[in-house]
Amino acid sequence: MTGAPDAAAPVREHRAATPAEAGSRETGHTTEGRPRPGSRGRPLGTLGRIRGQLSLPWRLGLGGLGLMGLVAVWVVAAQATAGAEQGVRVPTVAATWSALTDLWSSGTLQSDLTASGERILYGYGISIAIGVVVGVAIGAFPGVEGGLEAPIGFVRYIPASALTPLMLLWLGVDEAPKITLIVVGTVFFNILMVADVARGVPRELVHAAATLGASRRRIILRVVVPHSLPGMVDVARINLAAGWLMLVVAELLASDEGLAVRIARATRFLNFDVMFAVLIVFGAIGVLSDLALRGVRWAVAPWDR
Amino acid sequence: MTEPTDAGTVIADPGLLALEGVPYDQRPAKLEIRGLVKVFGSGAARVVALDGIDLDVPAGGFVSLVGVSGCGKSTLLNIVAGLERPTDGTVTVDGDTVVGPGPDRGVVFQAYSLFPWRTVAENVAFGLECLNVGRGERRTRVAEMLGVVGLSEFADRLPRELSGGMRQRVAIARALVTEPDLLLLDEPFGALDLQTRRSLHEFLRLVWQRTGATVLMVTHDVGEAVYLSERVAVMSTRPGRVANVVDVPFGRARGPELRRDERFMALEDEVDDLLHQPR
Repeated sequence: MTGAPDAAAPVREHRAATPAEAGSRETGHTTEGRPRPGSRGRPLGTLGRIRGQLSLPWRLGLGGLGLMGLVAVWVVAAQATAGAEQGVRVPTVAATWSALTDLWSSGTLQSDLTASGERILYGYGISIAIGVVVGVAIGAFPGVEGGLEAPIGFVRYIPASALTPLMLLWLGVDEAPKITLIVVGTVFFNILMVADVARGVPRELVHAAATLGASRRRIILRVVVPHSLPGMVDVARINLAAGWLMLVVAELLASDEGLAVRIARATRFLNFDVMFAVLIVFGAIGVLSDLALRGVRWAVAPWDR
Repeated sequence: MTEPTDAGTVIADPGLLALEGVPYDQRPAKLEIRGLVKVFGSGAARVVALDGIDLDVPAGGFVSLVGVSGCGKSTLLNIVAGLERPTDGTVTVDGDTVVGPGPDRGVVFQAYSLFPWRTVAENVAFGLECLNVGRGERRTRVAEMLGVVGLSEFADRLPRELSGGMRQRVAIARALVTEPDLLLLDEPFGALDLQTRRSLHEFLRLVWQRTGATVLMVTHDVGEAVYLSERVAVMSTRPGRVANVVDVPFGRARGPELRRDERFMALEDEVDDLLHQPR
């Protein structure tokens, strides 16, 4: 652009930034807002950028900040209710911690964890197994989909907790009704969500396999299942929370040990610190199992990370 | 990344050279399509996608179907592949009626048909696994085929690590490794950029020349059809019919210089006019 220096000059002058704007550009600070004179376009923002992505330090920092906020609310609530004889009483962090260590050193926590963990393992394991088999069948075969979707859609809306009395009458007060409740409370969600995952297998892949000579059995085992595997792990992770919910419902009704039993016992003696300690254990188990299943998903599907 | 210039030595059939000069219609038909009709829906939503298609592909021949989008050309290819059932009419390969998909008709789809969890070698091996070919022989044949498509160094990569052109070469290798009677291509280069498409044209031409494969290709790219085929069938839309058949007189041995040939360009224009003529 050597030919028209005088033509370019006014344009440059027109776009010159005011000192304030120059300052905001230097810091890289952008806030969403109306277009300002001397600048063009609407800044997309950083923390508030729709569908934006944060760097790892930002994510960890914000996560830590959020957890600290939760603890702060707890501390304030404990302080505000200190000395109250009834109504809302929140134990202090220190009291909760000592309740937790007491539960551990007496061995109660371990036996409760074992009892509850076993129920979840069997109940949720059976639920996932049924969910995978039936869900893949629904997602893959239009005939199965046509026949099963309506009845499952109906049964799904029956709150599983409403079945508790029935289960106790049918199966007694042993482990069977508890495990059954966990299965019943989660299996329909697992089935329908796995079916959705299996429906997500691209038709191109099924067609490619068929034209290469694959039998229907091979297409299910070598195309539908591997493609659905990461999605199935996601389904297992998401619905696990419902499994714990059903565990608590089951244990509150009839049980000698288990995490929910501990809460129920503590209620009788107004041991708020013990109740809080068990709630924290529930939260910790949730976070750990979530992380573990994310790890499983990462490990089973290197192609879909 | 250089595209391969040599299609290797797979099942070279010297007998095919004898076909040079034999009039097209006197060669024995590999694929016969007779009176093919496909109707979708019923009542007010009834659409006649294909209305009485007759088409032959001789053994070792290369026929292209060109048509604007929505003319039913992919439906026709899917019926030949056995992925869709015709409403009426028959498709036969070597006299056998097609009733479903099978490894005797290898199909290359436009894109996204590789198994993303399988490596390149495992993708190519899929058809051999279906035929219960033993592990050792499988490995040999996959390695040989990867050499043909020039992807030996990429045997252990996942599809997502490859470029679009390389993925389509894997798809072609996967379709060819079982040595199908018929290779069906459904807009195989439609999702690729022009340079990649041209180099894959050379690749496909060499594969066809050296393997003696019988090819039916669907495309909307007239230049591609004329450059690669011995015969171009031009389809009309709604109802889908073969409106015109144009023979391409450039023989089996062709090269990139053909693109600049006046006869080639004239033929390209002719097919283009047939494709867009008002009905």
